[in-house]
Amino acid sequence: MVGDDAQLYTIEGVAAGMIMLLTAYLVLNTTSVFTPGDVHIPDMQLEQTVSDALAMMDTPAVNGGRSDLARFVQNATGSGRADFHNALMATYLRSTTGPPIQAPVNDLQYEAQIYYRQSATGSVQNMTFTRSAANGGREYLAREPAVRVTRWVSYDPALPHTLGLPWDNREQALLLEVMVWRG
Amino acid sequence: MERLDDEAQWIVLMGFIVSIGIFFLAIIISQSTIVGQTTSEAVLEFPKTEIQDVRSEVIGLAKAWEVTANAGELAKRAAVLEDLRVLAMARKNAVLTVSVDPVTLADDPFNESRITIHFNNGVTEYDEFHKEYIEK
Repeated sequence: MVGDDAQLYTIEGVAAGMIMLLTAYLVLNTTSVFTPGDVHIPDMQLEQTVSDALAMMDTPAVNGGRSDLARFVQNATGSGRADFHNALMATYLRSTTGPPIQAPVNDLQYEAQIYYRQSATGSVQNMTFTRSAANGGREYLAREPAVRVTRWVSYDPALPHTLGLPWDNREQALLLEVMVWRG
Repeated sequence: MERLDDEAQWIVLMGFIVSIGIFFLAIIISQSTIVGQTTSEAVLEFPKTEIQDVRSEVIGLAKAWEVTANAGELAKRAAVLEDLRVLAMARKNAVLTVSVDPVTLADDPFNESRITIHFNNGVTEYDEFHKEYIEK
């Protein structure tokens, strides 16, 4: 004859054991270790911010006019560099309510390159447009997570432009690439 | 069967229910850590801003390009579209094919520019046929 004492305690013990096993399974199965470089939430926000800044810069003030960004690129070997830097950093990225917040609170750094196609050879070349290191910022140390934002810009040789532009003097589409990081 | 001690059954039952409740809350908390990452990865992967940028660039070009049969002008325009294709392939690893065809509309104050855009970066494919009205 099997002893049938304490059946309720047995059931309780089985239930408690199942809960403990399920909890251990849940804990072991769903724990992830997040490192700062792994979480892409800040990258996503930064990419969207810079993309919006370039889109605003590339929007003409009047319908049918030329955008600020197109004008900066036309003057890429002259005043366009400082104008781009001031527009990107002061007007858009560091714009806050009240006085502008300086580093290290809003410590964005960038490097902008212009890519173009040479029609004679068909090869893709680039020139360094401007970078924050040339304007009192910091160099890229290759350890900060950086995002890359691009923007197409039209170049029109009929409009005013600076001398010494490396690309062909024809109507063309250029690709402005801006690498941005916090550093 | 000997008399079972059935005191405190409600306490045992409540303990069981509460532990199940805590278990479900733990599942929700464990999901919340992963959801921000998967969402932002999905946003980063989808080339939303690239497609918007290509659209605005191409429509901007179409607005400036009137109907013409001038071979030199057509060659210039073909070179601009070739820039888009080559640079997109070199810098974005994306296939980008664009055509812009301005067409004269008789009896209409506007002409029409027929634009096709094909964008494929291996993950996202985007095709568009767009008509832009341009002033005569």
